[in-house]
Amino acid sequence: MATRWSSDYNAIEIRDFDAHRMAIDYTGSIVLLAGRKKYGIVEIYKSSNVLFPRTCKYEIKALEWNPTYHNQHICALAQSTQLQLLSLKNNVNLASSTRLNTHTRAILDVNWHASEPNILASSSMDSFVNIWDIRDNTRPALSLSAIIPALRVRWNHLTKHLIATAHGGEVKIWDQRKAANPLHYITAHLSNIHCLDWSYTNENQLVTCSQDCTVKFFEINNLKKTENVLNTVTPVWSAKYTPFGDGILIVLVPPEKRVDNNLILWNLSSINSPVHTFVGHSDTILEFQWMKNNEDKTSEYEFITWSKDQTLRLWHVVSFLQDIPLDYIEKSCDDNLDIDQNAPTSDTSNVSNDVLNDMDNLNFESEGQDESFCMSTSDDSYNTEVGEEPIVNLHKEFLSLNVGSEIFIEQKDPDRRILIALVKVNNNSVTIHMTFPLDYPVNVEPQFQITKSTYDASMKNKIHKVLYDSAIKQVSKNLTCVQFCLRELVVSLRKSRISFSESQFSEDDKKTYSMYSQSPSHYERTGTFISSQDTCNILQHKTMGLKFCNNGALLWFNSPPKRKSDIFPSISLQKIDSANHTPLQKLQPYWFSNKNSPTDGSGRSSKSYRKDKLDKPIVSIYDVSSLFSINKDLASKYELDVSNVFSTCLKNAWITNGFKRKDLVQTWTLAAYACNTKFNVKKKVTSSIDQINNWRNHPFTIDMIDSLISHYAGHSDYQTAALLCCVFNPNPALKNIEQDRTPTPVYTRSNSLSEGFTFSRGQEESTECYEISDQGLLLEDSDAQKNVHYDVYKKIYMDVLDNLGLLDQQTSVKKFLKRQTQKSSAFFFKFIVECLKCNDSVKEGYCLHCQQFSLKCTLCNSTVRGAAHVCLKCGHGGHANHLIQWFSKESLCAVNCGCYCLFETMSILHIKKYDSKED
Amino acid sequence: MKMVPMTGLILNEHEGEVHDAELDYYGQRLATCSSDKTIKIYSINNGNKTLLANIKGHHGPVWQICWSHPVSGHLLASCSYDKRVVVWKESNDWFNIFEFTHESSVNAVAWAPHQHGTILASASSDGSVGVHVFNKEWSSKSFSAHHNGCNTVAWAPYKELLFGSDQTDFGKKLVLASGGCDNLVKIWTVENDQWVQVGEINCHTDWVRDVAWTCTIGDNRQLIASCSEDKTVVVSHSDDYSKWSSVRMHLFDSRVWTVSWSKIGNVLAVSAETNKVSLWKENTIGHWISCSDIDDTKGVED
Repeated sequence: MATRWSSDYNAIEIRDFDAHRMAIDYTGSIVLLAGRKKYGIVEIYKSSNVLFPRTCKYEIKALEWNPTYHNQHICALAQSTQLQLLSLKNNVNLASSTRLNTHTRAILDVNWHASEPNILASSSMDSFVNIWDIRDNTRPALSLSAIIPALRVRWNHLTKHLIATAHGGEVKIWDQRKAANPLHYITAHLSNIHCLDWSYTNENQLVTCSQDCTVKFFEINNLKKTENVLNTVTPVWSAKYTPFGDGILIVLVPPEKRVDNNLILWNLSSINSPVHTFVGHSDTILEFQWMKNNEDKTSEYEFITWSKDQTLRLWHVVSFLQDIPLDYIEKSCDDNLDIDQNAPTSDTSNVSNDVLNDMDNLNFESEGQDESFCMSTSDDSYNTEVGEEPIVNLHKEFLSLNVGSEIFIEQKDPDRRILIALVKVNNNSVTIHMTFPLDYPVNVEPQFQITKSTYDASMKNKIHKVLYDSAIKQVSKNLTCVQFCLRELVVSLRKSRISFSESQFSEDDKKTYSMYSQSPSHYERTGTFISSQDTCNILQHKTMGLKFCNNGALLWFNSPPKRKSDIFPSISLQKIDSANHTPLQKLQPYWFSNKNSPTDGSGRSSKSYRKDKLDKPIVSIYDVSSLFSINKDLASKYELDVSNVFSTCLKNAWITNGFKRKDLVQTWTLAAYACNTKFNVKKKVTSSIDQINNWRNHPFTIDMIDSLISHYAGHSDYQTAALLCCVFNPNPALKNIEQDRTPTPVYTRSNSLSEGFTFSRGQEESTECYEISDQGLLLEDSDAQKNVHYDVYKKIYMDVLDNLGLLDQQTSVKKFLKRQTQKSSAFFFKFIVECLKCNDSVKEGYCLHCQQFSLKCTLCNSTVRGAAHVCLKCGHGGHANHLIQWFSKESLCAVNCGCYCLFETMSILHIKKYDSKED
Repeated sequence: MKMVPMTGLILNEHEGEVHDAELDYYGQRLATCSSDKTIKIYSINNGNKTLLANIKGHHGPVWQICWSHPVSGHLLASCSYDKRVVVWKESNDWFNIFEFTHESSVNAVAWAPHQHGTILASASSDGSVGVHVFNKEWSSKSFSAHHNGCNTVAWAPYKELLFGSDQTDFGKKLVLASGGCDNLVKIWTVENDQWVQVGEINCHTDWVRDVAWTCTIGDNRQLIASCSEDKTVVVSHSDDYSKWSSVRMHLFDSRVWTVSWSKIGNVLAVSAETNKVSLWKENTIGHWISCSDIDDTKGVED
């Protein structure tokens, strides 16, 4: 049970004052209260107050005193669209000094910069967050544009560039140096965020609380980790970090009026239960603020609250609450009663995970009401984060070291103040010996020695420089540096292979910044350079990817590349089809293959050439067709003539030979032997001698073809499998179609127009061929299961051909499908020719009734036999070659009918084609 | 035999990071989307690129794009941080023909197999998956899938034929998989006009970043590859949609961003945070082996 008592030592009651905003100034002695009708100044230590009436009809939405010494007399006050700067004179008079009018809609929040005395941020309904330099009040120094208006805006307490804004349930983190886009985008809460605060101890930590009854903690450098969540029973009105230790103070929206108007203090290292509850107010607490400055550092921390009960209360946090040991809390939770203040202190920054888990879901009672606070400790990330506050103790620093996979701590001896780390990057290793002077880390950096290294001397110097520079950077802020230095080193070593000089910390901050902003892995880094992953939906959105395209190409995109060698990774591929093992192939992007400077020098020589392009996104498309057995060129060349299976197989064997696919040559030759009917027919006498000629009749031949098909299908060579299926198992229906297809103008199929109507096979085949082909047909239709399989192979192959744009080939394979889909058979329309005289439908181009050929060529006036073309609109037409000649020059019909035949036919067919696709 | 990729392009035109790129069905046009709020369409051939269109209209970074099958008319779907899913259609210029607004940033879009019609799924950070159907007019339905954010969606491939099974509509059902911030991959299908969860893959210890779905030829095996920030890629297979058995394919050295199946042959392309790309293939005994490597030491050598 957490301690609870009223520890307010000063309560000032102000009657009849409906103030809803309160701000306390730098000195901690003057409070400005603002209400709808009045606003006034309260001097806490004198308990005096001066109230002024207000005439403005707009509410004061936000007010804040400048938190710096220099401008401590200035208070920013926002009402409607106007931002006023009031300055305090003689502790009683408020004079309006400046008005900042740029917002077009009501201002929602204002926040002074934590350290710059003249910088102020304001957010407004107009969706802009303006950053002002109050010395120039004509326009904002910077405008951050967001889609949704920011309800809250807060500067980082430690890093001067960072600012966080809360938009509904989302938080955006901005760097004012790169204000075009937010650095991070955190989908934090389900409903509106009421309060937002940065940690006083870690520049990367932030807390948000929301209407959705949760308080969430974020580490902006590590947003992917599930944030810690503090679940509460009622919405959380306000949550602020404590300026001491690692705690937060929260105010809940009370379930009912006049109940539970408490402030609750939590220790973040043991978030399962609150440390203390401050009881006193009798109505909703509207605002609380830490007293900004105590000259006397040793004194207790104080904060001030303003409540609806019209009292200002001043509280102090007794010192033992400020660094409450964990054991104490644990015990107090377990026992639920005792307060054992004498429990031994332990290291609060290193809470073992077990403890947290044990305490998981612990409920506790508060004020006679069942308020369950549970905390989801889904991972241990929090503990290490907590440990990132300034640790003066080397023990603590060593314990909290959290290094990546490249860094191995070989020895750590806090007593002798020594740490030995082994860093392994890109097959190189370096051992670093660190010694820590007594004053470390207060502006004193550790000493680095490189004991063992696979790098050369100049590289060692550079490593040393990286370590030294990053150490200085940290200790100048009195922060520990081991983890930071090692990570910096890893980052630079990773880049080192390209050009080390670039990866060093340049004096020019901006350059370094822009460079780091480009590295995707920059996220892992701690420190002031935050990744500029432009917007981050907690998800760090991918900036590179690899995907297969429909046509079998491999698409790779990256933006911008981290390493030059990665601009286009060369991929060495091993043939996937184990059936034909071809040696390792290496793919080089086209772009590189154009370059004439090969090998070693190219990395460097191309550097200047590409300098301007380096930060540009890149897309590279690899032809990985070598991975797969379906070959586009083969596909376009393969013969699929079932009228003569034998010669088709031989032709295909010859074609594959041209592609140096010896395995396929063998297959097709084998297939040819299996069906050499022609051979048989022609050389009946000799066939008995030649064993091979009898294969067709051999009982195993069918099985052989079948196993060939399943072999290729098994190795995902659907090309070969499907073609074998087609050749050896043609569709009986096909025969009928082909027989029907006598050269009459009845079916006019114009090749020029249509993917759908092309017949690729020769028309000159006689019926004899079909007879032969029937003999060559080996696989039987009876096995339905097999047919289904064969159809699947054909369909896959068709699909691939479709993707490759080989529509002719696709259509020819399609005709071999056993089970024609209804769709494909449904849309097939035919043109009926009518006799001009008797209007009877005409068969075979000859009207039996009138004894006339019905189609006469409009150009040569003779009867059309063979290829014909007819205008679908006017019905005039004739020999195809005549019409082609005609329409190459003319657009009007040859007959004086005024029809634009080509245009009309096109438009009619186009509509037809479109419709057929739609259904 | 030396293989040369089709093209390597530098996209000078984009102002920000490229978040996605995709070729259209015939591989003739490349669409890219970027943080600079634009989508650009290039025509590519033989290493040359020509900018065909620059689509502006999103108010935030565009996360993902997706081409539809030509049957639906080469539509382009895009999703953005501005919470919108937009479908673009080309007629001279690109026009926005459909729009849907989620409650948070939309992370992924995917077209359903074209045999089902024109159907688009979208995944949003608000935890919901939206399914948008065009049937004379657009209608949208969204359901909550992953409580703290949905990162990716993938449709089950359409399978017309079926072997030795009595469920006649097995391969023809509308089924989709979604991956989210609750470390789960969930399988959803339509029942009585409602999307219901039928399966779940619980193999990741961190956010699921991408899901890819394919099926093997010759049997009814469904394969889902999922990659996660826990640095693993998991391949799960199932004969129905409900019971999934999973194999951890590989532990990478950094977060894995994308997985993608090849159209034939079930080769998996994986890209991880440290610019590592690799291709994987299952061998005959069910182990996944890498069939490619970036040659790290000889990056620019020929």
